[in-house]
Amino acid sequence: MTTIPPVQRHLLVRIPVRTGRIVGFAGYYAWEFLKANAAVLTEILRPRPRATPAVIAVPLRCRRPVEIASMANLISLTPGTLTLEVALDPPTLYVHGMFAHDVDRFLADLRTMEDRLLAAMRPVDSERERR
Amino acid sequence: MLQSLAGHVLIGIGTFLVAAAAVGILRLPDIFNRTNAVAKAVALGVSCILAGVLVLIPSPVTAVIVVLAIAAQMFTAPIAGYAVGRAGYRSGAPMAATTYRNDLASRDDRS
Amino acid sequence: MLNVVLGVLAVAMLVAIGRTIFGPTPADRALAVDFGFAIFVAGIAVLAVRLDEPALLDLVLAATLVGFLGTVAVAKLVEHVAGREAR
Repeated sequence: MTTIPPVQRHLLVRIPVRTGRIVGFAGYYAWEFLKANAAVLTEILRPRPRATPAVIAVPLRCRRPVEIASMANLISLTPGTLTLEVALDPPTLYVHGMFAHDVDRFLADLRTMEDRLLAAMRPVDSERERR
Repeated sequence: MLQSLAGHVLIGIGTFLVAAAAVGILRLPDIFNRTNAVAKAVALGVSCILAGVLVLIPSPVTAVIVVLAIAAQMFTAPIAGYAVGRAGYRSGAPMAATTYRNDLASRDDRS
Repeated sequence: MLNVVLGVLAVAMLVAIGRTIFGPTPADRALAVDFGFAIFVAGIAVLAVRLDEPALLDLVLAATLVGFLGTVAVAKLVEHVAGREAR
């Protein structure tokens, strides 16, 4: 496989793009956090519990320790999902989810979050961003 | 007047969340569900109460303390949750019967 | 209003203490300690408004950090003791 030479846009383009991604991630995460809080709250106050807890292995595309730690902490901070174990090789989180009856959906949600997190954490147009 | 109302509403929401967490800690079936529900609901609840206090006592010193305390809550809550969850798992706390899948079981390194 | 809030927090604190005493597993106790500290922080903050004593807010910061360190220490201890018993 040939490596594609990096084509970097001008710094004046990259700075607003990166800022937008970081702000966008903060907004997205705040919204998800509130939604998850509401879901857990209704589950607690529901007369008949409906939670379907499960421990699910979540493979990560994060590579640097900072990225793995951020991902694990953000998952833990969201109500309803809790990181139980971290495996480093290959990077995998073992996540306890309270509403995990649909495993594919659960993994897809975490994957969306990871995409947005990595977009915010990695420099725009860098080698690392394309991996 | 409006300020006082806003502050009391924030404190009320926060107290409701803390009370709900207390119900959760009594009702939920296993340690993992309890950690899940309680540790984070409490982080949001305490943050709400602190924000309400800031609205009721507006001063630069209060603002600094409240912002620092909320930041500390948000940073430490997941770490404490992870520590408790891992301790529960490694000390062999029983899982609720409704837990239908456990990918960790195949790793089998409770140590 | 604030008196009601303090009353609710007191009941929640009783729940936390109950879990600390009767918690079926040691990890439950660690969680209850965390919960108790959070209620303490909230209570101090409300008390600062109720007594009009902003100086109490300094305690909020200290209690947040002590609560976090206490929880992690207890959780580590639980894990360590369980690991030793398994051997």
